[in-house]
Amino acid sequence: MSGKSIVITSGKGGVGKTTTTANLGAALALEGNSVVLLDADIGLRNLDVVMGLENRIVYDLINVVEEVCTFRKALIKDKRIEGLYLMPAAQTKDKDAVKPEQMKKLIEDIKAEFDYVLIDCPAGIEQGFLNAISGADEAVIVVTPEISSVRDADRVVGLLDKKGNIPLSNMHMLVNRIRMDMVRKKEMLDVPDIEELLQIDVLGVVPDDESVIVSTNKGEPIVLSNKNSVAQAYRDAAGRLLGREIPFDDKHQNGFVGAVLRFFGLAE
Amino acid sequence: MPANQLRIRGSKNGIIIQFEEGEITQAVVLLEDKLKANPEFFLGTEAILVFPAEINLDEDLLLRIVQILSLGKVKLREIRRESGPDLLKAETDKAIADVSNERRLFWVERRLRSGDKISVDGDLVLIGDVNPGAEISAKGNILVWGSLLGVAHAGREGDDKARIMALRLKATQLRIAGHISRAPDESLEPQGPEVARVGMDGILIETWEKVAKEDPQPFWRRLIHGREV
Repeated sequence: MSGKSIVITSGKGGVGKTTTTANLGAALALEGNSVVLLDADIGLRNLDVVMGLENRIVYDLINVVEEVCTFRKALIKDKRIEGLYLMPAAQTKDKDAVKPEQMKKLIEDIKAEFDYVLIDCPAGIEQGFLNAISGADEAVIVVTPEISSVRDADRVVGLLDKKGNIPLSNMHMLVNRIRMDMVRKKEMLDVPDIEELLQIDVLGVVPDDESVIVSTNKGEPIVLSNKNSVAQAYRDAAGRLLGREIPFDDKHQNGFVGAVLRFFGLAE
Repeated sequence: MPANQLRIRGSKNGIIIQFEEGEITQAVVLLEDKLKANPEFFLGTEAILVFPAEINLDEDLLLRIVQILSLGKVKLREIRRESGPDLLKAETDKAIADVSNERRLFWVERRLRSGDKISVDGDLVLIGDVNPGAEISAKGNILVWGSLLGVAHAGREGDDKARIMALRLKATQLRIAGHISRAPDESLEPQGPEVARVGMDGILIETWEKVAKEDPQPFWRRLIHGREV
């Protein structure tokens, strides 16, 4: 078996890379795939916290790279979802503790036994970023509808194209924290505006919702909750990663229009 | 062909290339052959051309010699007549200037993203967009067949006749020679292709229709031929 490795990146920090990694991974696993979430943010790990698995870490990525243990031994099985595993980052080392070639080899090894490896990339475009992208076949670029985020995403797309050898056709963008009410009032960038600049396909559009904060703090991926627009958006994104044609709809609306539609049962 | 049509010797000031009396066009062919046969001998040196007093030097011939030398990376230092050293100073300067002013056209087909940079020693034709955060610069003119949203610098080495044209000119900043203009804070969507040039009060932007109407030989037409005349 040879799986697929996908790096979740953005350039800018705080746009939702870790949340996206956790939820896309969980959604893929819920579809019956075997998935490893690999935290490449060495020194600032938090994918384990978001997944609620922090207290189970014994070995980490650096131990595997330094051949203290096998990668199998370092993997932590998710407590809720079958087929979902976490490869935690080391918290006490820094980004230089691992080299791109080592990362590449580790990902190759994991790919031989799992369907998907999702790599949670650190913010920035320095060594940590270069490590994280070195073994990736595809990339999901997380972008929020802000000029600064789009600018950084554009830079990252350019770097992935040059340094990561990931063709543009293997890059997807996930627009996070969009507020349709603000878009309609032209107070926020809309998806086509971002698409025009980045020129890569849209994997998903995730609405801004405070339930994400609640689930993150509980250490539980939001895709596990059924009736939630964010969860649906992530499930759709995962479906598109699996090659399904899923239309983008405007049902997940916020604000007054959304409230009216929800009242009549026309929106979630 | 008698070999004494051309004599080449080294000196502390560079290589002296002496043309003898006779058919000079043959000597030029000979020079080219010698340069091709021994490129490392000539590489990076400076040359002094010496012509006999009687010979009739025309501009085309001089230009041809300078081109041959520049292909072999030989810098022309001086042209002398045997009858007097500085007689041809003006001709030398003109010949050198002609060759170094020969414009090169750089044709680039790609999309420039934030952080990308292209800098050329000539005119630049870019087929693709220049996203915000990307930079392009050229010694000559710039033509963007796409959206110019980043920073563009034409006439980088001081040519304030250089121009910038784009199908959608919405640059963060435009620079022509030493002039800078930034996008207005409330940037409007351009209605069509536009051209930026240096006017009386700095950089001004006009529609390309206007420029085309006023100038029967607009610069982009000259650009196509690779050399501005």
